[in-house]
Formats: sequence, C-alpha cells, structure tokens
Amino acid sequence: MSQPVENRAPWWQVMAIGRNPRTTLVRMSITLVLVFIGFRASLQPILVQGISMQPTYQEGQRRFLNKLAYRAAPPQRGDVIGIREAGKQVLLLKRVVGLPGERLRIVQGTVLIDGQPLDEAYLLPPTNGVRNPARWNVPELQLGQDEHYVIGDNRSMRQADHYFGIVERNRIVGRLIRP
Amino acid sequence: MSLSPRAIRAAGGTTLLLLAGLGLWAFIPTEEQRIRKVLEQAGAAVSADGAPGGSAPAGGPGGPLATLGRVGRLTQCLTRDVEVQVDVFGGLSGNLQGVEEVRAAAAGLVQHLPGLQVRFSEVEIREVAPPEARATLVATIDTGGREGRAAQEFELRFRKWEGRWYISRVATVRALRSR
Repeated sequence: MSQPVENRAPWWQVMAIGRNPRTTLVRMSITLVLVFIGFRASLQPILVQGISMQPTYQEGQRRFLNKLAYRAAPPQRGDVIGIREAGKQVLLLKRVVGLPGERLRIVQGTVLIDGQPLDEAYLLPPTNGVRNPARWNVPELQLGQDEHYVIGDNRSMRQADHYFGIVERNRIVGRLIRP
Repeated sequence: MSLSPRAIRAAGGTTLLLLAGLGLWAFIPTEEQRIRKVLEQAGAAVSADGAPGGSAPAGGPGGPLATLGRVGRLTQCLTRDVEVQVDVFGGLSGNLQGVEEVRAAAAGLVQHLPGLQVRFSEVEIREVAPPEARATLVATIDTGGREGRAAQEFELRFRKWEGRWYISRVATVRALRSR
C-alpha cells in the first residue's frame, strides 16, 4: 500500500500568493476595498492652482487634505485648509489667521488679532525691511462663534486681486498635509 | 378550511385597492421631484443643443429663432418678479429684477456664447414648504470658448403657483466674505 503524496506548493509561491490562492484573492479584494473606502473618507487629493498661496505652495503641486483633521479639534491659527468653493471638487486653499470670537484688522499689511500683531513666518522674507509690500488694509471686524478668517500667503498681490475673508466652519473640508 | 366567495371577493378588492394606492404613490412625483424637473428644464434651456457660431441660419440650431426658443423656455421656469443676484470674485457682479430683465440678459448671453453648456450637480433641495422652497446647487458652466469651464455655487428660491414650481430668486454663493 502506497503512502499518499503530499502536494505542497513551493515556498516562493506561498510567499507570493499564499497556500490557497483563492483565499488570498478574497483577502486582497477586501483589503483593497477597505483601503479605498478609508482613503475616500479621510483624504482628498488636490491640485494647487493659482498664485495666492505662494511662496508656500506653487501652481501645479499635488497635495492631500486630511478630511478628518477637524473631527475632534477645531482649526488652529496657521493651518492651511481646504475650503469648499463650489461643490465638493472646487476648493480654495487658504491659511487660517483669525479664530472664532477674535477681533481682527489689517493695517498696512500687518494682521492684528485683538490688537496684537500676528507673527507670520510663512510670508516672503522682508525686502528692504518691508514684509508686506502690498500694504493691505481691512477695517476691524469681530468674528462670530462659527467663523474663521483666512488669507493666502501671497501678500505681494494687490488686495483687490486676492480672495480672502471670513469663512464659516461648515465650508472647511480639512487641513492640508505638509509633504 | 375553505373561504367563502364573499371573503375571497373582499380580499381581492382590498389587494386591488392597495395596489392602486401603491401605484399612485409611486407615479405621482413628490414636490422635490417637481422642483428638480424645473431645474432640468432651466438647465436644458440655457445649454446649447446645436452648432455654435454667430452665422447660423435663422431657423438653425444656433440661429436667432433657436435663441428665442431657448430664452423662452428659460423664462417659463421663472416667476414674473424673479430676482437674480450675481457676485463672483474677480468676475461678474450685478442684479437683475423681473423676468424681462432676465430675458434680455439671457438672450445676450446665449448669443455671445452660442456653445454655452450648463450642467447642474450637487442639487440639494431644502425647506420644501409649499408655496416656498429653497435649493443649493453647483452649476458647471462651459462657455465652449477659451475661457473653458467654471463651477459656481448658487442658492435658489422657488415659489409654487397653480400647482407648478417656478424659480423666484437666484443668487451666487461666495465661500469667503468680508463683513
């Protein structure tokens, strides 16, 4: 009486596709679906367009937004955020400078929060001692409990050409993930 | 156990009534569906359905008669006192009051942009309380020219009159605002 011959797969095949290829395929499919769902729920890819966030971000750069960033904590000053402009696909990229409840004004390009100048290290280095050559001015305003004030980093633009201002919390999609 | 003919007739009648009720429920559109229909009609009226070009024959798809037809179909979706408020950063800004002003503006728009295509997406119909309703949507506007494609969010108000919904107000929505 002969012994049954055990038909074992070679080690490299086990490493590559497992002992049971069908089970491996099912596991891979489930993993891919879960990764896809997780990706869609937590990250949003964006393509930077325009010059309002220069020099920090350049036109044509690809980045990701963390859509879960503000589930537990509100946006912080200095965060670069994605703002819903037209539907879910067209977003604005801006930096948070004013938080809910604060008094804000801009005098000759300097942002004042509750009367104190804001140190904005992310702006272009001073040229001949001038940090904000555009010399923007915005009269004092009081932010509501659901409002943030956002501006792009490019303050060398004309104030009239730069889209900035108050955004409501429900329009903020997430925080930009730095490379 | 056998059922009497009378019981069978009663059960049959009840089933028929239930089926008729179900059929009515399924085929009679809801207020939201009626509003969506009006939006579809408005979008189709504005969008070009024929060959672009200012030299189109009068009766052709891009000609004056077709333009009149498109504008006419659009105004059928509007109340007589319709109000249009446009305020786009770096773009158009202004108000239109009444269906005649909208008709004139739409005719000019359609003639200048014969390849215009408008598609509505992310339509959210809220606060449906006849005779009033509100909606927000994203209009993707393809001018067919070098300007390319743009997306803009709008807020709309509707009014119901003699069983039909009409658009009574259209306003652009800005993500960022000054106080």
